[in-house]
Amino acid sequence: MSARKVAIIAEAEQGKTNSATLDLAALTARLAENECVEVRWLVVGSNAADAGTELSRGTGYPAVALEIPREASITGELLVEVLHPFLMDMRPDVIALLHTSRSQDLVAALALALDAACITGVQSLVMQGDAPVFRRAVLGGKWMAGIQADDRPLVLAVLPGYFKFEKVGRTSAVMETQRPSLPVTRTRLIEVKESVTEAALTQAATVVAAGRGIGSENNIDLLSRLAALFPKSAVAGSRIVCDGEWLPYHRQVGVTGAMVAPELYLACGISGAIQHLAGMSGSRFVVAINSDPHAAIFNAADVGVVEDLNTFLPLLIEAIEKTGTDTDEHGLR
Amino acid sequence: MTFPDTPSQSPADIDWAGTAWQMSRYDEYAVEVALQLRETYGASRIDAITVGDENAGEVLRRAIGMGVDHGVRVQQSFDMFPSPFTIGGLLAAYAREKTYDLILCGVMSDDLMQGLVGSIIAGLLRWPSLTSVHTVDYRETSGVLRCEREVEGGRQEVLEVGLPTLLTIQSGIQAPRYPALSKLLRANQYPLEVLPAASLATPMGRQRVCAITPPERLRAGVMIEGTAESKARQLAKLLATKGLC
Repeated sequence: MSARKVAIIAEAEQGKTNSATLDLAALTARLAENECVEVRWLVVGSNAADAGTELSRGTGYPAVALEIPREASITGELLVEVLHPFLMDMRPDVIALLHTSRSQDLVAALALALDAACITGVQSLVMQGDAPVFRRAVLGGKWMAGIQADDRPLVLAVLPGYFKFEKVGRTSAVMETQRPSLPVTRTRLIEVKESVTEAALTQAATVVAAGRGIGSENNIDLLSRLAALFPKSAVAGSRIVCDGEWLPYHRQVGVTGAMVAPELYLACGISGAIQHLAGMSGSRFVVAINSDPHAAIFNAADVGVVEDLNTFLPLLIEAIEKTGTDTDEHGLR
Repeated sequence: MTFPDTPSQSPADIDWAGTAWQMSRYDEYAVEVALQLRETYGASRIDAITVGDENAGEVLRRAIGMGVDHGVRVQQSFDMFPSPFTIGGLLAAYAREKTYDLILCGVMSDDLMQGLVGSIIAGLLRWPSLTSVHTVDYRETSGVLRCEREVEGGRQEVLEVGLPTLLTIQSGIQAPRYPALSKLLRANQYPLEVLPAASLATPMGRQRVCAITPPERLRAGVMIEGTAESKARQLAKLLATKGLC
């Protein structure tokens, strides 16, 4: 594959982009190493020019800002319609964008418009000779699939947090701002409800998190008892636990829930789906307890225990209580 | 396809043919949404359509057991990791000949997890679509669907779209119903419709899975060994040493 032209798409909201947007340049720089003649940011959204200036300065790539008024009903369909003429004009060999809930509405439409291949959830890139192979999690994160595109344009949805771009000093921004006329869309954004995530969760020093592997709702009590042994702690859950109403949605950790970065993350019965890992990867120390020795969570843990939670958690609670007592006694002596 | 040799659990060692095939979890939610829309807003016909070999018939029987009217399987020979462009292309070609008002897909499959087939179908049909929807409500007066979905950071978007449309369904509070045994038995007798592969031109895959490897280690993953009691003591001690409890 020859990447002669690369378009990186960024979505702006009031001049801000997802913090991982700049990192897309790390992937495209690797793809473009020898053959590239043109890399360009296409920044679309409200105050896109502000965001475009930042991205262009940080990377040295020129940016085109496609301004959409904030009050417009911004849906995936609208973004595709606005981007379409620019992409048809530029005819990029590679389009890169972040893999987010919002971008899932765009990627297939962009690929079909450009007769391109489309690889989502990209986590890493390995070269097989001249051909790039994009790796992504499959089968609940237990395995990685390497995917190769045919010789045709390629749309890449890149998982936030897996590539890191080293800023190239501060170059001056090369910016062009356009105000495209807004098409009539069949999808309409009615309302955005703000997150209900509790500060207690995002600010907790210890998060005890429940996954499907805890087996039953009754075991939430066990997790609460465990959490109570740690200062500034909170009980959280994976999406499936919140779907089952074992915990309220404002206790959900993951892409569509809270992003947490506590000192200690105790993952109990969590399988380690990529969407969950994205929400807790910033934790300082991760302990995983799961009865499945092949659970993907063990790859994302500092320390792992293979045990049934029903039997293990009471033992752990007892051991921690005892450790605390021992320390006190030791202190008295 | 090349599989690396790993000490354990290499997919090369897995006999896919012996696997118990079942419906992806998100597809179960999609079937549930379809059934609930019908229960709330009245009569309509619900077809379940899949692409695959005989094993994929199980998915249709499950859907029929849940309450779907009819099952269609587009015959394709076994491929553990088919291209979403092939599957989406075949499903779009089938749907183009029908007059569906609404197509529902799971937000992603449990195995490949790419989340592309639904949007590809919609794109090929030139229908509007919304992804990751967990709540759907039909507005009878305006004839539109009001959908709610989660976006990054736990925010909820409320969107409206007219028919025909395609939605990909994320899991939500309404757990998919479990089919009654009597319904499953009846589903086993139901004559599924099978379309030979040759009846629809197989679309270009555009891309292929060329390797399956174990995931990269993101952290050390040191396993604590011993009896359950010993593991509990070791872990408690480790947390205390690190000043974490």
